[in-house]
Amino acid sequence: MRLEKKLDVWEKNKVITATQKKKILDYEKAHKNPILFNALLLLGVFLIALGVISVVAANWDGIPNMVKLIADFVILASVAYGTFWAWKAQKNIWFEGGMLALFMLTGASIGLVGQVFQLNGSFASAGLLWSFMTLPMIVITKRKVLPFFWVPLLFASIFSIESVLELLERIFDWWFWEENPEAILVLILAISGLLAGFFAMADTLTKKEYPVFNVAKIYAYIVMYATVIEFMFFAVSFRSFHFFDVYAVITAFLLLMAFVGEKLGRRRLVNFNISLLYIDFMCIYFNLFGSLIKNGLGMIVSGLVLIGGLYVTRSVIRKLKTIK
Amino acid sequence: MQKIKIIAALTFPILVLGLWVIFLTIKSMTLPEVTVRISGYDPRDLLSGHYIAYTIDWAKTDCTQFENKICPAEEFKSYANKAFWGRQFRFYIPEQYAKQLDDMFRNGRGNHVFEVVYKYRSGVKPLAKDLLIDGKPWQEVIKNNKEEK
Repeated sequence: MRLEKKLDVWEKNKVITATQKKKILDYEKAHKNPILFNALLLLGVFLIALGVISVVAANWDGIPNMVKLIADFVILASVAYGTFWAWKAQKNIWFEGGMLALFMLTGASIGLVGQVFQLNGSFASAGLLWSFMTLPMIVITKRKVLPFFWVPLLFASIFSIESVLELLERIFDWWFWEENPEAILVLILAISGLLAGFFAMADTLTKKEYPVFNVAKIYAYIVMYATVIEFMFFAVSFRSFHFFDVYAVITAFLLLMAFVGEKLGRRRLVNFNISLLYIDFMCIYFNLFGSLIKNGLGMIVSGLVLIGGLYVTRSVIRKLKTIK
Repeated sequence: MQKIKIIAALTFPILVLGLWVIFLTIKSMTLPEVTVRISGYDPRDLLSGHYIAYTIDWAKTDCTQFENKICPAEEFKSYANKAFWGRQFRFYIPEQYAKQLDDMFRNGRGNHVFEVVYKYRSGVKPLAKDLLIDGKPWQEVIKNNKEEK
């Protein structure tokens, strides 16, 4: 609920006075963050740094290698100093922008060193080095922008390591997974669910001081729901006796997440999962039954069972609470 | 304390880069040079981005350059990157010459000898130093070709 609406409700219920409500609103107005300005500023920094990477990648022959390296270190030192100055002057958005620029320029510098010395490195080694070099900045940042890039860089680097790829290939033997798509769905949901839970716990234990945990949790959620949505729309391509299993897993997962959202008081999570359940049921019925009449009857019966089931569950829970 | 943390975090990447460059420079200056013949690259992936992807043709390389006059094929193979068509090495090329080199490889492959000069010693990861076309640095050959046209 927006702040003004909440304050109206509190004032109506005499939790706060009209004077207190006005004081809160005035304070919030005076300390409002210019969200759009900050976001566009960081985007501008990102574009400049990306442009530098592109110029480095061109490997311009006209400049001697030593000059390129010296210029690179001068730029890095200047950006680092500017970022430090922004921190001292308490210009937070410029401090965060400076760190984002330094992060991107570190990647460009690794590319430049690779070109100058003709290193035969893989993406995995470059990515892991980049992640390692910028880890201290991840510890000190107070915004999600830098971890937004750093987390996928780290995971992409880890999963690019040859030995990791070979291990995954051995685990995910394609013949088995083609015959049992619901198994891969459960595995991905379980792993990403565990990761989301782990990062959520780390975020809570560290009192939300490190945005990287929140960002990693968000990415785990993205993997979970992207997998669910992909399976939802492509389950029709699986053989029929796996089709039901896949939709059973999806339905169970969405109901579970809606329940978790309810318990955590997260209305948006509940609404999101229920919305996906709508799409889930539509996909099931449009794929399951051939005719409109069968679709319609199936949906009516399911709706009645769902509503009936909800009332029964609620009355049982209330009775149990009364007994306690 | 917070100030020290900020300074340390901002200077850490620069320090690591600096040490890395110093290490590579010392390696480049102190290791002996060897020249190997290159071939066996997939023309479709030849200039992916702006590098040449190649394999080393040990059969046509002079093994007398190496210790015990034995070509270190297995050691070099362990440093190669895994690619779609096998193990490959890379040599970075400036963007403005990429097309010319691509044309030379595709159309003039049989007419030219391509070699890479490495800084190498047994047990140390080799550093590619130069690309030779018919025994001359590639820049010289490309620029001469341009002048002739």
